[in-house]
Amino acid sequence: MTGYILGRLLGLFFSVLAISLILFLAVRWLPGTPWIEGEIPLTGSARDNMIRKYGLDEPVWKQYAKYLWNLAHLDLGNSYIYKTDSVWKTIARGWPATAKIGTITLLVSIPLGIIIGVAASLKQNSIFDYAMTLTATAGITVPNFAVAVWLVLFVAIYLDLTPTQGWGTWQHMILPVIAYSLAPLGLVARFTRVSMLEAMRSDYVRTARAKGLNEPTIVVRHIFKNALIPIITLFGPLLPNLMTGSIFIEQTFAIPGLGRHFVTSIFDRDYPVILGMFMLVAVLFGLTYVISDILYTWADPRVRLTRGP
Amino acid sequence: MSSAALEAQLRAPRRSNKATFFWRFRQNKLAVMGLGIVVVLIFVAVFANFIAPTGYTEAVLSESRQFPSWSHWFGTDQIGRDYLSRSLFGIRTSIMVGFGVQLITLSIGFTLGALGGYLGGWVDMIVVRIIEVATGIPSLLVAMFLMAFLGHSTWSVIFALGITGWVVETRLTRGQFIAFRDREFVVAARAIGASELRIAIMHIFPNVIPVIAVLVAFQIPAAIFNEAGLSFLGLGIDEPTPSLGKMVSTSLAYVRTYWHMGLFPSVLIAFITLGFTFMGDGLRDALDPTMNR
Repeated sequence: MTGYILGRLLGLFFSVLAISLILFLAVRWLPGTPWIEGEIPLTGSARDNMIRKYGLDEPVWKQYAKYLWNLAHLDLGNSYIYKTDSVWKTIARGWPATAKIGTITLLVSIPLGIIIGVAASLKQNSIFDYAMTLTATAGITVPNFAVAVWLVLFVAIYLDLTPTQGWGTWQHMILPVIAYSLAPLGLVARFTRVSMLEAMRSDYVRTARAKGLNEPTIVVRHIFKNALIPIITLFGPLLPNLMTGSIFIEQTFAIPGLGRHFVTSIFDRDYPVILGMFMLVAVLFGLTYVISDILYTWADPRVRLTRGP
Repeated sequence: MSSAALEAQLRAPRRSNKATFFWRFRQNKLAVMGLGIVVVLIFVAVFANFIAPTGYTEAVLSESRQFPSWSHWFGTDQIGRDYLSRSLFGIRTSIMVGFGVQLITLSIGFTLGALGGYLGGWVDMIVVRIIEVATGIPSLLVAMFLMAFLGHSTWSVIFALGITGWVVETRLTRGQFIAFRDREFVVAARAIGASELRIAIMHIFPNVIPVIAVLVAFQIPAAIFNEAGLSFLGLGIDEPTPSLGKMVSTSLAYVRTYWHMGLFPSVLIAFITLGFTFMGDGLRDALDPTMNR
């Protein structure tokens, strides 16, 4: 087990290294820096000074080595735009709002999704089942910013129940959380339903029925327990996605979160911030995948730990 | 399987594989509806310049921000362009992006996946590593990043989404080629002396097509979603080319009064993505009814 975890972490390490190299080279070789095309373009010696200050005149391999060295010390460098801010500080500024929305969305969508999925599976092929499958598909497919606009038009403006956008009070969080929850909610519900149906058809459930157990015991102890195990695999992609924030939701509701910082840093060509956020997301994605795989084997001992996709 | 579905299958007369496929697809009302939506959308995309009442750049400033009326069914936008026309041309943009992106992702993904899955060995090792690294990179974020350099035309969006979005295609193709690599008919073909290239193209490829087709049906709306998203953030297609995502984001500034500006493009995006997804669901179920539910 320890060997497996170490192996996975090593794999993750090399993945992150490869990602950092690709993105670093992309940033360095693609044209444009904030001082050439910014709002106030710098020219001549002023520009040269800036380039020298940030070490951009050195050979690329040297810059990359330096970046890695700093990365190893958890130093992501300084923002080009907000010169007194480290990248960490920029990230820290957007993190609370994103994490808040993400956590609430998670707390709403996963339990609710499981409940709906279980209910639909227990009444398979009923009207409720079809309606749920349809709604779940719609929730996954329709872009969340489209749903967000409908919510703003109907709830915030027509019914005048919530603010249209902004950040601060709990009322501000209602619409973003609804718009944001639909996709994971649909995903969890559909996944739970299929997983439940599979468990219902299994031999051990037939055995349980044959030996005369009562229905609630079968549903809870035999079906439910086994059906929920695969849901752990959903956390892998779901968790980092939610925690890094839906850029669209933050844009629609003017929430000062990570996603908006990412977009502004792209507009500003603020490379250290862009790179730093990418690294953060890559590590977060990788870690949750490893953790969800380990959790899965812990929950379902039949699954063996092997490497490779 | 429920008794109703079982009965339907028992009552079905024996048919060839192809006929069974079409029969199963037709049974699925949602899928037929999805196909209908897709056909209409492609028709609109191709003939937008004949259907639309005006061109997408024609602005009449004195008629700006009008609500829907008989002369402007969808109203007009902030500089007086007919919103229906903008929407129809926006559909054209969406469809172009949806299919264009698939062309790129399939070329990359299919080649990589087929090479790795069929040849195995060190080639596969490399492909697996590439997949592993690429999975760790959030592709939409990279596409956003690329858009900062590519300029904001329809083609650059197609390129940015295509060049970043081939991981699923690669993984699926690789899996399919591995699944078929050692099947009897492949071994038989090899035994009678068919070349590796011939086996890959003539024997395995036709078997892989259906699964790829299903994937494409799901990846097209994903690409359309992403284009709308990029344009929504201002990182996608720029004016005057209409993009439904861009129209939604512009509408946010007028959302309090001019509801039509946000409603129509967002509903259209939902229609497009849902149409393709329902069609894809139907394709998948018709190909292999045991795969889902």
